[in-house]
Amino acid sequence: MSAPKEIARCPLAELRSGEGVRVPSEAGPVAVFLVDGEVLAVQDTCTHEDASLADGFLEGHVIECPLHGGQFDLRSGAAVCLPAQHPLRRFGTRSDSEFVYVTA
Amino acid sequence: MSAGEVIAIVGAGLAGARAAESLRGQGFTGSIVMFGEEPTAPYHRPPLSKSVLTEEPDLATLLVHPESWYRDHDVELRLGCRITGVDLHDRCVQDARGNRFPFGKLILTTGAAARGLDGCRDDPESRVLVLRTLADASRLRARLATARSVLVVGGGFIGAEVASGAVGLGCSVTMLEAAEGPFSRSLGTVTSKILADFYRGLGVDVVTSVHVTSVRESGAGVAVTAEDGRRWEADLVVAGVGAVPADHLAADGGLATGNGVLVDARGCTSVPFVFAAGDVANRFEPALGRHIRPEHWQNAQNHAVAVARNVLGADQPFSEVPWFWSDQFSVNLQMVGSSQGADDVVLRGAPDDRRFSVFYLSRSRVVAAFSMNNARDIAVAKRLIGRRTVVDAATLAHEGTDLKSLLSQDGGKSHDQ
Ligand SMILES: Cc1cc2nc3c(=O)[nH]c(=O)nc-3n(C[C@H](O)[C@H](O)[C@H](O)COP(=O)(O)OP(=O)(O)OC[C@H]3O[C@@H](n4cnc5c(N)ncnc54)[C@H](O)[C@@H]3O)c2cc1C
Ligand code: FES
Repeated sequence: MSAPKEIARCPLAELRSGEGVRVPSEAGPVAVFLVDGEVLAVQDTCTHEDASLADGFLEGHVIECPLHGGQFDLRSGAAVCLPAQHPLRRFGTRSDSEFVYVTA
Repeated sequence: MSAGEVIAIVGAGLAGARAAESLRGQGFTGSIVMFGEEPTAPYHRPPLSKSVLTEEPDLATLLVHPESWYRDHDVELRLGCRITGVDLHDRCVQDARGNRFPFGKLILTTGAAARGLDGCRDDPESRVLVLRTLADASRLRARLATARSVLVVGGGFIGAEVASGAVGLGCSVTMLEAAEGPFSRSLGTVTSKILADFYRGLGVDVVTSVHVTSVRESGAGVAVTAEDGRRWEADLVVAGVGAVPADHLAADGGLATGNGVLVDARGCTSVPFVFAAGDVANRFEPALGRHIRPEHWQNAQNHAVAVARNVLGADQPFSEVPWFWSDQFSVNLQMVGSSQGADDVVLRGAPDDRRFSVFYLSRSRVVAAFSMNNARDIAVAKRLIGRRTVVDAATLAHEGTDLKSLLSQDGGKSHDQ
């Protein structure tokens, strides 16, 4: 398997615990979250309809979509509450002192 | 419940479809028969008053499940079949042709029907329309395409969405509201005034305290007259005056009804083998200690999923703070809870920026919230309501307050008294 490729980056300073940041990437917008010190990245567009999950409500590891309240587990990407039924694509992350790098 | 038993679902809408899905998801292997009066498999209604008003929809995008789902999950879908009677003694339902279908357990998901205006005719040529079904929406879209002026009677959410679509098509739109302001009963005067100003700013002529007494079609138009003699004319009238629960079937069959089919927190009716879910169910809400009948998409879906589990014996009460959204005039509106009984109203944000929230408090606890373009405040409000957290009105109003911090404030404990 080839090494994961960097597809987007986000300044570390923009990440606030419990909130999402949307960053564009060649794989479409990515939502980056800081959960208990861990950086998690998933596709930003809800799999139900067209909403940005970075604008959603984060509680623990679960992000709730702002449009219809569908929920996803950020660790697995799994849909955990209707109307969300299809999982989110997850991305790898790596960080240095300045940036979080999203990899695919 | 053993395999070989039959569960009948009457009403093929969102609640019916989610109930069938939940039954199969729980491993029920008996027969499921679902009856629907409309010719279409269960579909989502929210787009009908939004995108479908201006563009012909791709049916596949509206369906709750693709048609193949019913075959793949062995759910017998009988469309175009209106159930006219329930026989609780012999445990069977009957259609208009007299065919009888036996069941072991029955789930009623018959929803609600649009309330009409005197003057509404069930005739494709009518210029006085209601909006509930896909057929209604197609008829309305065809009419709107050529109308120049539209009168929306009733300042509810569906009416406002129709007004939005009509304005977008270049029609001149007048909204006639019986109360002192749009939504004044459900949202109170503060929010009502903000929304009335918002609609007027977008060119809608909002007329309040109008008691319509007659709606008459004449030539190519419709004339509406109010009690006080005021009169309006337009190419088209759309009635957005609410819906009535489709509970006659239940009442005629001998089930307890009252503003819908009365069910306990498990969704069970007055008869142990009959359940009801969605818009038709007037359900006991444990958090409020009273019955409520939300007519919202999320309620229909989640209530049906929970009730189906109880049909299989789960015995779990369902409790959910009612929530809905509305998309209109390029803004997203959301409401959570019920403002009934609120003793304080707190505005957060600036209505002129089209991003604000209104919180409704009762004895220092949030009981409801409404927002424009601010879904996150609603997500917090939903949890504040559920946890019965005591909040300070000034803190809530202060825009510098991070609302989420209010959730951890008391560790999520409830204050009961
Ligand atoms: C135009 C419109 C826009 C909406 N927009 C929103 C929105 O933006 N946000 C929101 O939260 N909610 C919205 N709603 C509300 C939401 O769509 C409803 O809460 C939901 O459809 C209720 O689902 P249900 O399955 O309980 O009932 P229904 O959708 O009414 O389905 C019941 C079905 O049962 C059938 N039926 C009834 N009686 C019989 C019988 N005797 N035999 C056979 N079949 C029968 C009916 O024909 C119908 O197809 C909207 C509703 C409408 C009409
Ligand atoms: S768009 Fe996310 S739940 Fe519908």
